[in-house]
Amino acid sequence: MKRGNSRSIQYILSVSLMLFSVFIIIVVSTVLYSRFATTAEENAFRNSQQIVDQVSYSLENNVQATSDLFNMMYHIITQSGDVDSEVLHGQLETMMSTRADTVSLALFDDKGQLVMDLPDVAMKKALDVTSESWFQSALDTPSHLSISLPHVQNLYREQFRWVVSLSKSIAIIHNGKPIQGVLLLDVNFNTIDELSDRVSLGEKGYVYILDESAGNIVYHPQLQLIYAGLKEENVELALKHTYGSYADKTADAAKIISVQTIGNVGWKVVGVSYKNEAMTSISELNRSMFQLLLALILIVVLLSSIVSRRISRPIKQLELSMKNVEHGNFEQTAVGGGPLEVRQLADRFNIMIGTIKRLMRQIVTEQESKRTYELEALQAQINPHFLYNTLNSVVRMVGMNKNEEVTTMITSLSKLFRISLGKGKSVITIADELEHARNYLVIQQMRFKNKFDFSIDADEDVLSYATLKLIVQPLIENALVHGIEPSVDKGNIKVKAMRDGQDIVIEVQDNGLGMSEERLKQVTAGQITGSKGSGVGVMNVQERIRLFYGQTYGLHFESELEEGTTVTIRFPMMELKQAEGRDQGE
Amino acid sequence: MIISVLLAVTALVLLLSAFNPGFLERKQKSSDITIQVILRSHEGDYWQNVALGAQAAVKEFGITMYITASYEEEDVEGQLQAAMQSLLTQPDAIVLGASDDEAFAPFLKAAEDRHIPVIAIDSVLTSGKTKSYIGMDNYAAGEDALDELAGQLGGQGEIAIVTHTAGGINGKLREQGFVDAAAKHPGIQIADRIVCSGVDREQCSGEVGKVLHKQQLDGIIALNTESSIGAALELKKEQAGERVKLIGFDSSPELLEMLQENQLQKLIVQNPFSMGYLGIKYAMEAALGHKIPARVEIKSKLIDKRNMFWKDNQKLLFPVVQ
Repeated sequence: MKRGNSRSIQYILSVSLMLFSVFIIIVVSTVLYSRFATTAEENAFRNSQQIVDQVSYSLENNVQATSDLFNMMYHIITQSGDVDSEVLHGQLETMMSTRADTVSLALFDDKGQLVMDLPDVAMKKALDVTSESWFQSALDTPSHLSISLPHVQNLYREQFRWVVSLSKSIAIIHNGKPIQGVLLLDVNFNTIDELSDRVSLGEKGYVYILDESAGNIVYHPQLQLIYAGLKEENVELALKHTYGSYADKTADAAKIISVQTIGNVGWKVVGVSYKNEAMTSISELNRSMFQLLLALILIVVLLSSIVSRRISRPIKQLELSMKNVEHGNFEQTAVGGGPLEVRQLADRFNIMIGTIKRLMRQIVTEQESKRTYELEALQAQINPHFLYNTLNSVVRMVGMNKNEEVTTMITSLSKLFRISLGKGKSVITIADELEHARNYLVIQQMRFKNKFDFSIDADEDVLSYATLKLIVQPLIENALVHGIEPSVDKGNIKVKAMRDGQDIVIEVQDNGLGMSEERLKQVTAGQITGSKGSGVGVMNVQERIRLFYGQTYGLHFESELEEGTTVTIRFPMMELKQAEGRDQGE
Repeated sequence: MIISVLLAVTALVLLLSAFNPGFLERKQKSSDITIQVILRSHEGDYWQNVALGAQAAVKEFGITMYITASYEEEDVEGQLQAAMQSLLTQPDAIVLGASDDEAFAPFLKAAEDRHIPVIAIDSVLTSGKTKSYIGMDNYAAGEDALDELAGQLGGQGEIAIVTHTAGGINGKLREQGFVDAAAKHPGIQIADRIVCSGVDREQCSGEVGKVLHKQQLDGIIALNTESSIGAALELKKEQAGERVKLIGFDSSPELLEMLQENQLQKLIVQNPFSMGYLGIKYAMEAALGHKIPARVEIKSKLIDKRNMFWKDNQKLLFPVVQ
């Protein structure tokens, strides 16, 4: 298994969440931004163009109306016989009054001499109109209405008004003679000026009017600055196009130039708006997006750290609990907080700890009972009653001078004790165990004055294997006490040790009273401990075998009334060393 | 924990800022700038043009502007008071067309104490610290006037200068230039120095008339609008317009009319529109902390009968469309 990727859940969660959200946010903002930017730019162009169109439409109307007025006047003058007639003057005055922006109407002959003048205001003394451009252009292009650039009217005394001059050569009858003349209508430039000045194209944007033919600026809000060289207006683009909106990138600040041509005067209305202004919302959006992005990243960091902490903290707590357990503290239970999975994990852990605790308690109890049973067995061996009886028999035999038998008895007793006390070990070889049984039988045989016979048969190959100490003797004692002693016949006890597969089987068989089926059941179920004074009881043996070798091993009873009882001990074949190790280790 | 709170607060602030543009803006923009303009007068073409130029700049840069002026051009005390008062509103910059140099020393001091940059227009100020001067080189204009007159007279003649009591800074400089230049023309004699009020054209006419009666004059130079009108009117009355050459300063419809009638020969015309425009522009830049030139000279124009209706001069001489 790869152990390199040992990053915390918190880290992995935070980073992946953050990367994911940043990715999403960036994608969304980019899409939004580009969509919005395009729309904003289109809108800016459309707005600019619309305003310019409106201005030029108004201007065109204005110019058209003025031209119409001029043409009507022209018509009336050419139709009337004499220009000096009062009726004509009255008519013309009425016509002039229909429009507020007409300044003056004047008629000159081709030498530049004034023929007629409305309203009748004093002219300048040294007046020479022949050098004026409106006069010349009227004569140069007969039957064509010339519309001049706005200029300061230089006709009347103490008046310097900005006007646009409409002029056309005209055939009139003056003083009875038909002559060629020039009709001049001066119209206030105010209307155009105000109209253009009022236009707003954003904060700084403006509209200017350009004369198509010569590229002269007709109107510009900062005309003075341009003349003074403080400003420049790039008219190239406007001159090149007759209609449309274009981006002008020649200046520092990118501009949108919208052009519309006014057909009847040959002027162009040019709108200039600043791109950065029209796109302010864009840059604002841009900044907002950036801030939003930052804010979201922060929030995601915060959230992911909170979320991952909520996930990882219970896990860490669990780990802490486990560490405690590791150090032997089984009393603490893991706190089942946090998400479901962690809670389940904690529950499982707690159950596991419970099981371990139970098992441990079990082991402790088992060990305790093992020792208790052993102690009991040991105590049984040095039962003072048994010792007293044996010694009594010895004394009796000494009295009867049966020296040989005394020797045998004392020797047997001493061997019995040597084996049963052993070196404090609870495991011995089968040979020793059988030897122990034999000594016991020898002693009892003498005591019971040959009331029974006995035989001990053991397969040679099982002798060296291990067995629990003091498991055969209690069975023999049991057989003597319950089987042989109450019986009137001569008893016979057979002890056999043999191998059965991987198990060792030791049989203790008597031909005593036997047991009824009922009693056999009770004994097998362990309900009758059946210790009558001397023995430690069969159950002691049973428990010890089971504790040592497991529940499948132990004693087996077979009995029939008047026939006798056979108790079989079964336990696994085990080398002495191995068994000793097991005794020590557990 | 603290880090989390900090993060949360920052995120909140950023969010607020994202939804309310300008929430975090601390940077000074041109639209936040207030500029106080203190002029000598609301009256007269000259000052109206200055105001027009200033308004053009206001529209272009989107700043806020307040204009104050004394009622009379000669009212030094009144202008100073208005100027001092305007300091209380804490403008970001001041554009000042002062009527007197010395009298404005305390004002310049006060402005400097408040770290408000002052841009002098029209009249240069020496009594205190100003960021910049924007206007005509009045000394050179005086020299030009004399050179022009000397040219008109063919280098020979007796001339008089009409100066005005309220001439202030500019008048003195023009006169100085005029006197210094006269020394270079041996044929030109300064016969008289006529002093008139400078705001009252009749009084000027009278003074010029007295001198005209007293002695033979070949040329006159008048140093401001009203004294030019006064002198021209007197020459017209005496029908001496052809004989006595007159060079005037600044323009007005009357002056232009008389220029056309040949009552005076040349006008030295400033560009007040540009002055107002540049005044505001540089004041704004000074307020933003940019470096601005210490002196911006605006070229004056020599206007005569012939060139007054030239396209570029029309707008200069008749700035207001009426």
